[in-house]
Amino acid sequence: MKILIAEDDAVSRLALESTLIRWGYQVVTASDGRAAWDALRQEDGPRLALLDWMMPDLDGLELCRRARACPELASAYLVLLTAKGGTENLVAGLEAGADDYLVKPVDRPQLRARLRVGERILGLQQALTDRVREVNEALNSVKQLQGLLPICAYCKKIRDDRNYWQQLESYITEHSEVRFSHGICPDCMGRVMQQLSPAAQEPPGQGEAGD
Amino acid sequence: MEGDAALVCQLIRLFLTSGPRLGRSVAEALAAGDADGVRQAAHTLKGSASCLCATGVAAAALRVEAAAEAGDLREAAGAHSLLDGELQCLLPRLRDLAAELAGEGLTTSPDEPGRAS
Repeated sequence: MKILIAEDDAVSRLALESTLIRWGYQVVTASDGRAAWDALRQEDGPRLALLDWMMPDLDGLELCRRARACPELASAYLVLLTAKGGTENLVAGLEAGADDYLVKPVDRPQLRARLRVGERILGLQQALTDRVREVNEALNSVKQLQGLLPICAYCKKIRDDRNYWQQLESYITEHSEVRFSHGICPDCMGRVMQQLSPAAQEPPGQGEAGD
Repeated sequence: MEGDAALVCQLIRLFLTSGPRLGRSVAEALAAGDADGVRQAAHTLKGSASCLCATGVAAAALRVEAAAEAGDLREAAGAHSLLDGELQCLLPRLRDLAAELAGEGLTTSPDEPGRAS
């Protein structure tokens, strides 16, 4: 998984980078907040990030705020790294939009465990996103009539959402993938034959004429 | 660092470049009366030193940072003297260690005392 390290201190950055590479991450580094912001905004940029709080120009807190205001980064998993301990700072970090908060010097087993939590959350989000897309695609491809249709008891027209009475055939065509093959049923055929030829006594057989 | 000599060597070399530069940044910001500049440089130096377990430098840098954050540049200047002393002790030891790890002939100059923070 791709991960961003935003840390202005070169020594700390290298130490973290080598650790994360050993753990199998694909590491992207940034030495200041602006470079970190650019990396996060890349189309294929990291969605898991370790952000130092105190950096020149754009600090980790501001990066979190910006990311949460950006729809593409709303689901990124952001971990603030800071020497600032204490409840007040932790709350400020989380309220700025960080998902997690680690106090330096970083305890490696704890860092590893928390990154795994981040990976799990990102995995679940991705699975959910994929599922929603699949459902939307399915809905787009399936038109299914459901619910209550107001129908005229005599002429069998359907009243649509705009309060127009439509022929049953045109209504169903409009609201489903159904297409009609036209024919004539024996009863109707009998009536038609009687109208055309009053002398005719017998209705035709069960055959159906297609169009 | 988990026993990775090459990485330790790399980190030390990085600190040998960035540590003195950050120390100078603190001094320059102090001379300019720039409390925020002092705080920022001291903060970064503290982080670097912590990575190398250089607790003396890290503690001194923390004192400078805290004083600058409080806007007390006089206190920061006093703490900076301590920081400078700690750095001067640390750097030659790190050079020796880097040379030892790399199997190179880098040596500490005779006037530099060898004491790690």
